[in-house]
Amino acid sequence: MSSTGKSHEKVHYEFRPAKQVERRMLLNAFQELRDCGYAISNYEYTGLGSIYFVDFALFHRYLGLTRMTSVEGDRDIANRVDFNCPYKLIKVVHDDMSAQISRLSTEKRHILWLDFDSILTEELLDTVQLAAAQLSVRSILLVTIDVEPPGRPEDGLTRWNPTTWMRHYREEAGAHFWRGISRRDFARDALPATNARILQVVIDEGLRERDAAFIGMFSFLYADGHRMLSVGGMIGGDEDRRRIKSLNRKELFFMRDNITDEPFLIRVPLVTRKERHYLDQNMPCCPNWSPSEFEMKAADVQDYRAIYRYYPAYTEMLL
Amino acid sequence: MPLANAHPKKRFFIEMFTRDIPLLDCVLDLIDNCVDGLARTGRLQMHMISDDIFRKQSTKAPCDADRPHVRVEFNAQRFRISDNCGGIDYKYALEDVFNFGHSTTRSKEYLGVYGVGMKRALFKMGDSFEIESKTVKNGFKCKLDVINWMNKDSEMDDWTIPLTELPAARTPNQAGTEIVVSRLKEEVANLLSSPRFESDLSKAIGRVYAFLVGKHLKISVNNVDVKPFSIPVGEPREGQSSYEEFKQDGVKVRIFATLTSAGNESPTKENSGWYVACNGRLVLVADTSEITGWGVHPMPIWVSKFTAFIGFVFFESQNALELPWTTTKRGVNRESAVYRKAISRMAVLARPILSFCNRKYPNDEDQEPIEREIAKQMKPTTLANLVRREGSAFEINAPKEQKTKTTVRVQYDANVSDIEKVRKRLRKPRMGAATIGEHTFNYFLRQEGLK
Repeated sequence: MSSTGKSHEKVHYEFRPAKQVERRMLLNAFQELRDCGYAISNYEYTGLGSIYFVDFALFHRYLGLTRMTSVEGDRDIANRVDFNCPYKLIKVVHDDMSAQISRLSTEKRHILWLDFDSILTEELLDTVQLAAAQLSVRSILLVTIDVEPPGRPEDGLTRWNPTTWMRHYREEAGAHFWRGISRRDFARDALPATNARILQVVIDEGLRERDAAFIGMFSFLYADGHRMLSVGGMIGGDEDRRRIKSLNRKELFFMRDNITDEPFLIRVPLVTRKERHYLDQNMPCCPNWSPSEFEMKAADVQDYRAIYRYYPAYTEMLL
Repeated sequence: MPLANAHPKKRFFIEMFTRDIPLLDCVLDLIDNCVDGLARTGRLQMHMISDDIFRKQSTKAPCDADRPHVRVEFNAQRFRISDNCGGIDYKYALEDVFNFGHSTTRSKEYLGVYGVGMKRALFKMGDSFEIESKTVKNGFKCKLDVINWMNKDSEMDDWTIPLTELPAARTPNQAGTEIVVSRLKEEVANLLSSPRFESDLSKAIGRVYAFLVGKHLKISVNNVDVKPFSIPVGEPREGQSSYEEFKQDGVKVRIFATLTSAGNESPTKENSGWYVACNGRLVLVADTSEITGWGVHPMPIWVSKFTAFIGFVFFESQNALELPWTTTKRGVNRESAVYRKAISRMAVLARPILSFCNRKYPNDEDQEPIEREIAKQMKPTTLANLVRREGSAFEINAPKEQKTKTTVRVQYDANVSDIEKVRKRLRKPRMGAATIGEHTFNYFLRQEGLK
């Protein structure tokens, strides 16, 4: 998969708090799915573990997944990936994700996370379409992409504006454009929604010859650096739609009915460890609550209230 | 209520309908009728074709002498096709064969679909034809002056062709059909007298009937036996190819995708792409167009780096009408539901092979990808060996490291006059610039004691 850089070199995966919140929210949703009858522990997990395998460790520990495959297409880090693989049960495949998708058994159920770090490309969309065509019914498909505008800000406004961004998207995804799409859909703030809609079109295209639909479940927007969009859902039928609809939405407040719905914004306020202890002692708080001991914006309090259960704690360990 | 006239006109079938098909395909249509003769007698059954292609232990084929023979002979004056494939039943000829379109009660034919092929071929070729056919039970002959027949077209009773009953064939081996077309159309006579047409036809027959010729029947063109096209199917020495089968709308579909075998020759564009067969007859050969999904998401456009790709799709049904082929049987009906489903699966099964082909050409030119070596070592195999009960996707058990090339390309510009000086000194006036480069480089290594 092409990208402007290698994400494993940009940031330590364990220190991406918003990403970690997203993983934990997904974990929570999968646990709820398990409780409502989906044999999630028997699902096969396929992802892009890179050299960190954070999602693999999480899903193995808390969901009991034992059939896991990490796909790595970069041969320059092949040994490094193998070396860092945390469990023997994880199979590392050195190939393209699109090739591995073809190998997913149509008899088994899968959680497939296409956790890309690049902006949308034609090749990426082809991979998503293949996934929709291949995944068995009741499998879960997650797609993460970078939704920053294409190009470089230093190119200046004459070359870096919605018109040129639209040109990029037309080249990469023009085949999936809908009638009436315009420059407005490629304004910076509109890019997440436009990307989500393109992904929906591509997934539907992959499912076109199948007797199944894509039941939207997730849409997350977050930024540990770049703005990232994660969408996901289940490939299933009417019965699956009904069961997913019946999940405890109070518990799973971040869930969405369609991937094109307004995404759940994961915002992680920066607080000290001491502040965090204080905030946690008051959670869950009333909507208008604010800390009396220190200053904190109301919006940050609301953000913290939404994500505190999923907020990772980082601490320095002296080895 | 007044009724508008919607009668057919012979002129349409003779002068218009024949424009939609090339002459070569007309000949193939006539050969289809011969194959269907075998099907009607039961000497060729669907499972026999399938077993030959997909089972490791295929059915016992008749020996060469007993093999039914289709002879195609032509020159600028006449076209003749004869066979001993069982013939056409007299009653069947009276009631169905000459209809434009089949009746609802069909006989056991595999390749005759629409009931237009033979008539369209004969009308395309010439203004007169004779048919003589004998089964082991009965026989008939007919002779038609096409222009006279066309001009008499005032009522539905004019839509008949006179047949004369003949005695039955004495032995099953003598049962067969002979068709002779004369007073050839000028453009047809020109083509039939061209040696190029003869070789094109032989090649097309060898490809279209690749799974039948040499096994279930013999076909000769102007007394030269057609050789079946040997499809270079390859199998990785360590790994597996892609295979899947499914059923939809009464059609069984089998899809294979792999790399070409590494024979003495390198893979060629002529052999690369998808092969699509309906009831064992290839309707698309080495297709790299949109028809088989190339350039339609999620498949990439075919480019030369995919030359080693080879894929097969077999559609099989007892009811030939359910198959996704066109009336010319040299294309597919892209709107057919079973074909659309197949296209979607073909893209999935092809993907790992295309990724493999991509990896043969890394961005870093100093890398020597292992894939190049693997592609060279693909072993020749049969499709039967690639069938997997639960399906499979192409996978190579290759070492993950890639070798670094031990050579590097050295390029530089030199003055033409200097190159000439070297040639003169070496007394080799035709020595190429590249050879001079190598020579002078090696000279330096030797002089410096480095080699």
